[in-house]
Amino acid sequence: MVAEGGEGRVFEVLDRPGILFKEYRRPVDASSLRDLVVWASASGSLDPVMATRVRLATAWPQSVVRGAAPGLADGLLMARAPRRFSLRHRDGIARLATLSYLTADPVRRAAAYGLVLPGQGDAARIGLVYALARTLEVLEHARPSVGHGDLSAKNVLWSTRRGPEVFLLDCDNGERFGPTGAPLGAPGRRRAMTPNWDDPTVPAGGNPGFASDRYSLALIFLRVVGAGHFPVQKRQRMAETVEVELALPSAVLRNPAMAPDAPLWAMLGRGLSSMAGLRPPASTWSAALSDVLIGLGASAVLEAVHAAQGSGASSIPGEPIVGPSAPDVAVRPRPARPRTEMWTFHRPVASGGHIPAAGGARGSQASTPPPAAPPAHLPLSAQAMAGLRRAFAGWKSLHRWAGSALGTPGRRSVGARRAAVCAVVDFVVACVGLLLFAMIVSPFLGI
Amino acid sequence: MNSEPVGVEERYAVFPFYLCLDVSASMAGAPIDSINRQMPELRSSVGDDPAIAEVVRFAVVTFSDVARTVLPLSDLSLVEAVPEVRAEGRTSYGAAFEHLRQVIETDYHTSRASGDRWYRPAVVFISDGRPTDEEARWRAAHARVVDPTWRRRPNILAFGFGHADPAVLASVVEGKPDRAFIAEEGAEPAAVVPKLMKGLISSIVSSSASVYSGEAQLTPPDVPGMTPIPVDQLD
Repeated sequence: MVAEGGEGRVFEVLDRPGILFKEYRRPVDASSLRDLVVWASASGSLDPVMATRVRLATAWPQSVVRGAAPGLADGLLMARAPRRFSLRHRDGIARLATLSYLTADPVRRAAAYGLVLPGQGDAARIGLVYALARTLEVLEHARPSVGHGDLSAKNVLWSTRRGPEVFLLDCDNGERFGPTGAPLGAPGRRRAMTPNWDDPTVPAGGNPGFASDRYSLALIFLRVVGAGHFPVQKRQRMAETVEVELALPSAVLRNPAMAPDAPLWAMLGRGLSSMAGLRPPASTWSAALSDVLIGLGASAVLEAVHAAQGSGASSIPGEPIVGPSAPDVAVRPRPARPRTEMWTFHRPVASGGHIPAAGGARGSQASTPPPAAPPAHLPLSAQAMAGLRRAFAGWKSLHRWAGSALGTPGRRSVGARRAAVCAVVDFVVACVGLLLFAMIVSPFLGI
Repeated sequence: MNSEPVGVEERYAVFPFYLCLDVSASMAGAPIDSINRQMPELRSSVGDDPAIAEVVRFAVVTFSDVARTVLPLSDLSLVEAVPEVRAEGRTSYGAAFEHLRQVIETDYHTSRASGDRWYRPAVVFISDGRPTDEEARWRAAHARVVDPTWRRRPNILAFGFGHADPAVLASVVEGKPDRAFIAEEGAEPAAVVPKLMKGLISSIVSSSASVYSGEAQLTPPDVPGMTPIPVDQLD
């Protein structure tokens, strides 16, 4: 089993590498799923270039696994997220790269997990939203169009290893929409929305609508580029107007495309608006973010996104970026001040004792006075295991580093040199291992 | 119109959990070993998921003759390992409740000073025995923890096994229904404790998800009869 969630369980398919089987807890309507499968398949109406973009950036349903009861599906087959959509914590274990890593102070994430993440307002963060916009514009402009409906932190994976990329999960939550924006799926079908990532205009118990992905895209831009939570929905549900203060590095705000008076901010406000009709389509976002990246001198990011999505095919022309301000949401960019919290990762101390409180504090490191008589002793085995995992992760990275060059045409000589380094490391490790083994067994052999 | 803008420093309120653990001598062996074995899983399940770690703060308080804070209230993503606990002494409920009242009050003020807002804290009280201190003492200390005029008074869930007294545990949760659980008579602690710890992990994970919905709930471990408890946000 790969994962377990509220909807069901996900398993590897042994004879089909890269494919996963999602088994529902309760069988679901098969026809809606089948329609989604056909929509992105060769027999569907999607342009092949756009279909490739969807295939490379989503775990789109590929086949429906029929249930015993007629008209119901027990599960589906879908693509597994490629390995690059994971992050390796300092303990050496890889975890799915969810958006949660990006929606907080990167310094805090670095302290917690030992990860180096792009900073607030960084071109790589903008590139990730650009990659998402280019994926969503395909869904939105197809006929029929499709809305994902649950673009939450857990359902949007990201990677910057080959340039900014996203990979959408839970695409079986999608719905096809007709030209009027009415859903085409079976009536009564329930679709998920994750709290904190949901469209505030959708009433409790309701399904996400055609414009819900547009809201999610704007929210993801705000949270990913701004590296924070910006919890706006609660206020929006209470019909309050919302003013967002978006702190960004001064260097970013000096760029005309992101200057405080740039049309991007009014567009972001419209995207977050409770007036769903004001929300710009994904294609408008991709055009706007393309301009921003060029303005930031990050054309390489743009090209990397195109390459990762399988082609440099231009985006679908969108609406003009310039438009009215939303009456209910205003976004005010301002130069970022240094964050006041400090984050410290706590390792257990060397001889039995308590550890100080771990957390953030304004202007000073959080701490709790140590109690007088420490009763606890340390989990040395945990430390040793963590050390072993780190060493193993380092060894694997070294070999991947060599392997990636060996497998790239034109870089094979570099790869050969790296392979030689690996061989030396492996030889040394083997010698040390043999020595240790000999030291352990020699007393038993009387040597 | 809301006059306060939403800025990058606006965060969700955090949900503090205090694991209040009986480490009296009778817990020696399988129960304590089992707790120590499960702690890395708890740390990893909560701390390694940034969405959960963001809104959960976790502390471990142990009690025997005296009570101690083994792990101060922490963001588990910033802690590499929870220190192991050792069995010692007798079972002073009084020491446990006196210590809890003091640490919750101190932690609240420390958190507020660093900008964190709190949901009402949860205390998960685990014991395998009856209190060995004077009844008047522990009841007085307990009364201070559940004092309705104390704004930080926690929701308490109690779990007992071994020689724990159901009537005493019911008092610990103020007789509130569905908040105390006692293992079946004769149940092996080595079998009960792992289930309890796994239940605690899923309880923390589910409770953290409710924070994002805006209607926080303390989801008890998956024990028959226990139902989620709505949790209010403190000032």
